[in-house]
Amino acid sequence: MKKLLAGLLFAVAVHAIAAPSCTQFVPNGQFPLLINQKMAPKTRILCYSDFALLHSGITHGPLWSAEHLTREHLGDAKEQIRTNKFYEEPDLPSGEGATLADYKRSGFDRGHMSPAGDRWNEEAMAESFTLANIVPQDRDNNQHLWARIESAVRRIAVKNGEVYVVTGPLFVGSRLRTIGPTRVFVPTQLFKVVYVPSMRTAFALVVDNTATNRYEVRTIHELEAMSGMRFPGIPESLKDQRIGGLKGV
Amino acid sequence: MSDFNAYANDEDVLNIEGDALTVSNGTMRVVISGTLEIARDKRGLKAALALRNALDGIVAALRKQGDLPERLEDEPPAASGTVDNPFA
Repeated sequence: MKKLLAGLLFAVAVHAIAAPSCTQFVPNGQFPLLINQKMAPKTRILCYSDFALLHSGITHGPLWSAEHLTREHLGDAKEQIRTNKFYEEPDLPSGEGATLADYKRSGFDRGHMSPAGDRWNEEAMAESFTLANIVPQDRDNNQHLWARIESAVRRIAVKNGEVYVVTGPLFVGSRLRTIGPTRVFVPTQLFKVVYVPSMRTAFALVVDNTATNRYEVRTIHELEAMSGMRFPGIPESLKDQRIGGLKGV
Repeated sequence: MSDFNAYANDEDVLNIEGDALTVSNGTMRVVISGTLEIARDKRGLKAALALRNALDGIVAALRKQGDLPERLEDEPPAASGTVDNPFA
């Protein structure tokens, strides 16, 4: 019964996308746009209770995952102690989403794009474990460098009151690795786009999907060129800013 | 709240204080990762108890298994593939 109910809730949530009712997670209510039209086939926006993402039936994972972090919500997120479960996204047509079997013995972590640690209630935290929010991520990267970057972004949100974050994979080069029977694409890099309205600051970070301790700071315009995406919710006047780096990473 | 059943599946993750510390379940290996600051307060106690429960479960499951090997061999990795980048 519980399962059925969860399914129904999801159906309602996905329906709500058509009317863009989860645009509260992106600045000025504007989702990232795909400029590279080769990425557009089989994409769907999925809305969850405190994040939204664009899923690709080609890569079998998210192309971006967007969230709005506030000081209050992150306070609640810090209180969360619960057992969650990775799950296959029931709202995707069969064959589009990754399966649990794809990740088994793949050698990769199931890397969250919108992180579990940002979720401020139980429902949202459970939802963040949908494989629609997950990419194959280098294990060492996920557990060390990436975890520090996620914490640093949380600190920026706590200090400044709120931030908008978009996280996603990059697929660069002529050949890509895949895992599992569904052939889930392994990203070559991961990015984070961070917009701090109160500071009038926006920046992007790019990290190789390897056991690295290095991250690169990019401007929003640079990331738009690399990713084949545009971030229309971020003011154009901020897109050439370059920050020095992240504290504590 | 915490129904983490050590070695029962490959899907469960016990999250303590968001994702400060995660205990990821696996049928062959359980992985604990992160840094947990246990403050001298009620939240600290709650986190410490959650971690102890998880560890108690791991120890109990290992003790229960009579034929525990000295060292578990690495499982062979699943086959991976390559594909032409459709976005390039």
